[in-house]
Amino acid sequence: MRGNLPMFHLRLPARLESLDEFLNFVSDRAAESGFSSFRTKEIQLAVEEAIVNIVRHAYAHSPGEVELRWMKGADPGQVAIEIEDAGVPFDVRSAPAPNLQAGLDDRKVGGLGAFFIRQMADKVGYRREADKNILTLTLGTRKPSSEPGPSEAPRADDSLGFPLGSMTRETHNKGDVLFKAGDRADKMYYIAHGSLKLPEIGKVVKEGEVIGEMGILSPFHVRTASAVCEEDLEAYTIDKEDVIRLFSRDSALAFQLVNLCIKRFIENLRAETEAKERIQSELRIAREIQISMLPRVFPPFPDRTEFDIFAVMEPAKEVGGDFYDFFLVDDKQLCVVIGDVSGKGVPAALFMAICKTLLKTEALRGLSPGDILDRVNRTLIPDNETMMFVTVFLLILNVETGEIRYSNGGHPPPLISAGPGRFESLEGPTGTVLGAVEGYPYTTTTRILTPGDIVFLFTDGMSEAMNADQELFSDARLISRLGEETGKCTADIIRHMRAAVQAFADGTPPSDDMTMVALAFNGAAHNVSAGP
Amino acid sequence: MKIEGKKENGHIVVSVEGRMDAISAPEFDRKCEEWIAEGTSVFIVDFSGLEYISSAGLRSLLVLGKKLTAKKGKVVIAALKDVVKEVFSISGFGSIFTIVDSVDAALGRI
Repeated sequence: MRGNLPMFHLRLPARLESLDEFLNFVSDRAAESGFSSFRTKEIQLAVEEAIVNIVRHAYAHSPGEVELRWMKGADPGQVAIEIEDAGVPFDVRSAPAPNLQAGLDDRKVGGLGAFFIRQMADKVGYRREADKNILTLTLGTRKPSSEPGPSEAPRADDSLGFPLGSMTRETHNKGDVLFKAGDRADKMYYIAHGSLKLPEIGKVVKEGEVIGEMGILSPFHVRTASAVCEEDLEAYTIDKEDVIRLFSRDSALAFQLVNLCIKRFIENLRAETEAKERIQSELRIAREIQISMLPRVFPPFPDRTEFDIFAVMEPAKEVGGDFYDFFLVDDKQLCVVIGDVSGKGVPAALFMAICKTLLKTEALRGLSPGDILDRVNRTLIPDNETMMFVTVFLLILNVETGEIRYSNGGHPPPLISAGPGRFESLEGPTGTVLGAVEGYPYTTTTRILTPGDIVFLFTDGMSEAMNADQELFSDARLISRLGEETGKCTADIIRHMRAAVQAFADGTPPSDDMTMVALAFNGAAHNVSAGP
Repeated sequence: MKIEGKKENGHIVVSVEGRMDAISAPEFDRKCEEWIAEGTSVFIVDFSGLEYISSAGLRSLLVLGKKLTAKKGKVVIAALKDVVKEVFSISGFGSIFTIVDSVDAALGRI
């Protein structure tokens, strides 16, 4: 962000004690600009005289500060020094010329300071602005109408800087809006004093920095962010045409500006990428948390031979809200849940976590499926300010008898095997989604499984999986394909169905999570073995 | 600024090195005032080590010259170089004081 366009400035108390620092500053800047040591001393002389004048005259009766600004001059090899004070108005140009011919007796003490200033500078400017004296010294590599001075004054180097002398000065008050995002960008600013805030991107632009160059140099000519004065502001502006003129005169400055723009572009890009990566990694973490909440160890109950269960949740790109769960309510009852939370992203994942936990908590109390859904629905509604909802199918299998009791809260009905090569919908009322209607009655349906029966639970991410032609995998295709799986173990069923959907989609990325749970009832194994 | 005075037979050779500006010139004034108070009225100012002088330094020299004139004394300035020489030249100080190339030359003038 720091554009080091060389306008340098130094602000110190207006006291003789500050003089050394000012003169060292000038000496350093002059050396950077390639001025000879001879010329540097001449420039120091002019600056010393100006500052001493300010201390002695402008601030004769009250303390204050002096600011020196070192800027690039209008012509190559020139510098412009501005010296500013807030003392009494005083134009050094109006000081009477000393009588250079006077002898020792007649010579007046003093009067030489202003004379030296005029002698050393190509041009001496003065303006009174906002209760300030601003003296401008334009200085070349040699004293004007030079005496036969040093043999060869070195040429000023390519040190860069804005010719502030040929730019327009603007002052703004704290809180002023310099420009708004979307405004037409017609000029760039050099911040001489104060600071700006860019609220949209949370950046601060300080003294010595440049802003608005992107608007000038990019093809869009529109402000990408607003700029508000954090403090009273003094800026120098230059419009597009002048920038172009400047470029033709000073290619080194042009290069510097373009460089600055590229730097800004890269910085902006990096900031955006970092923000994006941060969000991505947050989503990834949310996704990992979501997945880690689902039981994923198969077989989950290796010592239970009465049933066989396998499940998978295939996440879409974004964090979705699919979930499944299964757990033993007691020694004889297995609860199986599948659900799909509305929406996507982190909120959906959080809502899903709440639903899953509530369902398990209620189920472990030994309630019927309808009562579980009813209680969870009642719990969700008062807190559900985000208006999210969840579809749930909950089933409890009595592993001894094969009885299943189930309740549906707006979920696609599971499929159940109906003889070899056939699947059909598991019948029963489909209630409404949980979290939407308070006091909605959820009913419990009962059915008896026979050993070898398979219940296949899924979310709409499966039946609505799409191929490149925007065709849905569809319930019909699902039922027909599932028919080929009767008699197989649940892990195989899930693997095959997953492969079938992937083959159908043929590379079209899924738009939704896809979840499948396959439950096979094997019959009360110990009863079989508990024969004679 | 470094300032040293070597007194010999009623005159003094004052060597000034470094910078004679608004900060350091008062020190020159003070020292000279002491030497005048001690009765010295002929000053040879050796500027061979002086790198910079501003109007404040010239002012000190002018004050010194005026004081010594009043005491029938004199100032000879020796060995001006580069910017100091230029400053003397453009300010007309070269014609106020006796300017010589070296301290030896100055000794011959007194």
